[in-house]
Amino acid sequence: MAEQSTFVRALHHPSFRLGLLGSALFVLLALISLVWTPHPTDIVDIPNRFANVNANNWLGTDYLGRDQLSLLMVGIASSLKVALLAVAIGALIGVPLGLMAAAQRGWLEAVILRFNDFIFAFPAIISAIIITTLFGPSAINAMVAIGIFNIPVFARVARGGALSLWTLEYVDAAKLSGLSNAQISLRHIMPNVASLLIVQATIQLSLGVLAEAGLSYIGLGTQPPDTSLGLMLKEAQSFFFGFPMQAIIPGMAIVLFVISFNLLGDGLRDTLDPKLTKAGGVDVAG
Amino acid sequence: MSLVEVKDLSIGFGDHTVVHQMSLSITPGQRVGVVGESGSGKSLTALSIIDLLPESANTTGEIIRNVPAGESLRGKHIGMVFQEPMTALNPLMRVGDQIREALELHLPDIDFTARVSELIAEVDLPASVAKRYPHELSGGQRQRIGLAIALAGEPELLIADEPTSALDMITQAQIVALIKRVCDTHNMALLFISHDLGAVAALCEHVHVLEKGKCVESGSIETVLKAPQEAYTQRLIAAARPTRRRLKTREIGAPLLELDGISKRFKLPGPFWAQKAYVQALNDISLTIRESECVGLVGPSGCGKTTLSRIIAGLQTAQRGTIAFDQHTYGRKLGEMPHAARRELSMVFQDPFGSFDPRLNMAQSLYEPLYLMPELGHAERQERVHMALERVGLTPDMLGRHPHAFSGGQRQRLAIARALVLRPKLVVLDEPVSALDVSIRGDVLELLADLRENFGIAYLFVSHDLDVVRAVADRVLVMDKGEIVEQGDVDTVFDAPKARITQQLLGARLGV
Repeated sequence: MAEQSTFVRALHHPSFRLGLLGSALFVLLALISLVWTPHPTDIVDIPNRFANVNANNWLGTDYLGRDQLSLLMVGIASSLKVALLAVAIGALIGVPLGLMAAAQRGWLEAVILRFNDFIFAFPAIISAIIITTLFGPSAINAMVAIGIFNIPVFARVARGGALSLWTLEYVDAAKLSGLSNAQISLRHIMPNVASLLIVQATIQLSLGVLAEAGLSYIGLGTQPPDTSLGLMLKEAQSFFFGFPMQAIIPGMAIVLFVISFNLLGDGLRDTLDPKLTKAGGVDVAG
Repeated sequence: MSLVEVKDLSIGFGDHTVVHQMSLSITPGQRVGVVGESGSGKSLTALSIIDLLPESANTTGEIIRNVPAGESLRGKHIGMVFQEPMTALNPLMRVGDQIREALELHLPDIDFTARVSELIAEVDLPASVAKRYPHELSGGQRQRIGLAIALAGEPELLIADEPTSALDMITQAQIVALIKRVCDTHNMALLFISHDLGAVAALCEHVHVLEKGKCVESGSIETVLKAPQEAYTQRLIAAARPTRRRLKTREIGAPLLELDGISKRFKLPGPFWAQKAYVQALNDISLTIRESECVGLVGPSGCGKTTLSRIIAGLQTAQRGTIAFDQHTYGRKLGEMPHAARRELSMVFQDPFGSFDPRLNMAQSLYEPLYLMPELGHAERQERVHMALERVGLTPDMLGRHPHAFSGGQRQRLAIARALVLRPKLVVLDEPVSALDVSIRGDVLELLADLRENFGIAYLFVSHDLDVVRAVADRVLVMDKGEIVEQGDVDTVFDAPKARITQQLLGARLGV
């Protein structure tokens, strides 16, 4: 039987396709905003404020007369940046912790697990509020706060996957070859849990976007004059009854953003996880 | 008149045919065996008779079942016993109730409680098990309950699909004897599916041999065993009677490995305030393996032979005792196994599919042991790996491929090649042929014998299969409950066993 690449197999999965399309669109908008936006986002044009959808401003203008589409693109970029870096913080610290816990067992594992439990004991949004109030509200602090909550998530996934691999015979063979636990973790364990981690990363990315929006909404995340999806929502709140489109546009962007990444993650998990494929319950594509 | 008549049955999935033109018939009271390797289509044939094929299967041919119209086929006329007794029973239901459930379906007018006790007594279990849950029973007891459920509907035909493969040797022999007795008392026909020719020979009068979905030979068990016509059947029989191989040109040398007083116990999990409970895995084990010697290690499951072999290989450490191996001495208080000792020792594992990292190609896996020899240059490394491959009959052009591209037999050859890269003095073989299909076992055993002859490697051969051990080993150690209860020359021990467990193990052999 010909071995298809994982990506090709994933493309047959409808939710993966939909998720990939949506995520790619958002990432593309974010990338374009780095070099070009339809209108500058830092020029106030009061006479033209609350403009409706028109040929010049495709999504209208906000309460300062700034172009909504341009703001949305910049907002997506900054939300994505915060979420990506938060995932990076979580993965870079959490994955080594999880691999170490699985490799060494004993007291080190106990310490890492208790540390995980400690972080999990605080709801993510509460710990983020504590951090941002201690160190001042800013996009960077929001990023760190979300990132810290990501650490135990990645540590758990990495440890869980690694534990089952450590009982396999090829790991025994590697031990007989004199490889240290760290070498085995890098050479045999890490590549084999990578698929689990990629799936987790896409899901944490969508959660990160949501968390960033929440923090910005209560004024603890991105600060003006920068913008983000949560900040746009907050600014639109005061005019909601007069100009509902002001809130609906960033709100819908958040919803679609999160759904896209979740679909992408689900599709990836279905294709990458051999346990699900064996159970036969996955092949939605038929 | 036959109970079931299968004529020219073919089963396929999509455009891939799995069973070709299979024909068999079972008369009342007849015991029929179907023998074949994994993937030969034997289970599908059985499922088609009891009408349990997956919906995606397309079949041609005819199955005539001698069942009155309108009566349910399964349970009442055909009973079935499955391979994995744990998953065949409902974990949340007492086993007595599970037997009762089958009775309520098929014989609604009787006294269920009395009949359940009768059935439990019939499969040689004490009456108290009726109140137990499946996880409280051993594998053999669960399989007996499975049999009691199958008997509840008083079927005329019992289909048993590998009912003993998940059990250890001694339990296997008991279950085989039980099935035979039950079939005799009820005059029940049996369709017995197995990869194990020995079990089929012990039970059946008539046998069908399947190879790749085709029935290559069928006939009465005596004729097929005595005068097999087809090459494939001959290979199966030869594999069940492994050829005896002894050193020809080489002499067994000086002691290579000496274990003195090795003990190991495991702490059982429990709350920290409770009295610590331990299980003594190994108790004061002493043994010697000489250069070029092949020592067999046998014992019932759970006797500690895996722990012992892992300690010898250096994968676990003992809590007491010392090990002297090739001028190195190590153990408790003497320190860890030195790197220099690791170079002289390697291991071949049971499962050829689990012993290679699926993400690495064969070159990466085969060069791995050379981590122990950092002083070697690139050319020397390559020479060692290529030489090892050559010795197991494979070629270096396979090195770029990943494990999934190889068959089970090829993988086991590659695992042996990986063990040879270090040019070790001792190789620990942990059930090296049990996971292989019988037809390729002979090849692997021959390869191991050749390597010993040519390079003087000593083996510790761990196996549950006494026939294989007798064929390859010079000396045998019998373990039971963490102790070596008997040891000596393989013929002396097997011809005149002294320890009770050795006698039991030998009595449980299902030879052909």
